[in-house]
Amino acid sequence: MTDETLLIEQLKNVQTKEKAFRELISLYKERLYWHIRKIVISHDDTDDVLQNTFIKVFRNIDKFNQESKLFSWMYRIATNESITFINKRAKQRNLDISDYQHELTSTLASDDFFTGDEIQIILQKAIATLPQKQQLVFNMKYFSELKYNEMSEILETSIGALKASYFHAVKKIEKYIKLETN
Amino acid sequence: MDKEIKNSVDYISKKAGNKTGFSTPSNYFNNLEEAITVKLSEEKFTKENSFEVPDTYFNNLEDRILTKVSSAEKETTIISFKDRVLKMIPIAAAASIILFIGLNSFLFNTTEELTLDAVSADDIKLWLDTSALTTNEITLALEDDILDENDFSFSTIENETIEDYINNSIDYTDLLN
Repeated sequence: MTDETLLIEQLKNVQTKEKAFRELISLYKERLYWHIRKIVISHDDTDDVLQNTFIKVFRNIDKFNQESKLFSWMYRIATNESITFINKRAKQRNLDISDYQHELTSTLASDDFFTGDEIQIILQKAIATLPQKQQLVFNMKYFSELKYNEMSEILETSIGALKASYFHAVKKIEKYIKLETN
Repeated sequence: MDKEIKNSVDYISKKAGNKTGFSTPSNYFNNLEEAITVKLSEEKFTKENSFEVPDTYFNNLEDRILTKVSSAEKETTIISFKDRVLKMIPIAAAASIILFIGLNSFLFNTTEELTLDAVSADDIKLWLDTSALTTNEITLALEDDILDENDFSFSTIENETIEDYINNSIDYTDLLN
């Protein structure tokens, strides 16, 4: 029995559920945090989404069918939670999602939890101009260095489609940076 | 396509690195398990309250509130001007009495303060001439210390000295007048 299978067994057992859940949080908290953070940008919003993600995992662990890896399943929940969150925020602000994301990256310079320099702000602004799917693919591949097959499982998209998305994303970002820095 | 992607990625990486620039508050990850389990425990608390209302309470609440609102409106229209005037009568009467007492005390009952300056010298003379003042009345009017001085001086002055003083000092014309 692998570690993951054992953990899932413990999570599904009422007696061991809470202890196993703490272990699950410890194992995945940082990876999921950074995945969410790249989508919602603000630390406080990331914290909210991350906590909601883990709570959803806890509540729905019985529905997890083990067809995919636990890791992929949790990533999928985190991705859906993050996208739902930013769409809701944009709607509340009466903004189009791309305008909302542009606004988020425009305030990065004054964000206490952004330590990047000017070129990193430009890179974030470039990512914000991409369609949602291309943003996800770029972030997962470029920063998190996930493999295409992992991404395929998380995003439920074919590897070919992911490669095409990454290609378009990279070309657009390159162009944006060249335009902004020259 | 792969080579083209590689060239573009190399360019981005060279320019901007492969760090996002995002950071977290210190110790953020240390307390995360605690924060999430607390939140989970909170969610287990029932959100239903134990208070109950009668079965049909909410069914006719609108009607009961509207009835109260309309009856309150009715009451306000019933109060006529005549009723208001009648209600004011005792208050007005009480106010009138207070006003009368006040005016009587402070305006009509004022007495002019008489001072010696206000009386002419002729009036004083006339009064002295017509009124028979007894010695006792005069001594009562004089202050004690003056009386003491006089007692002392009268007892030591000889009759001759008094005669000399009268002869030399007193203007007889005053006395004759």
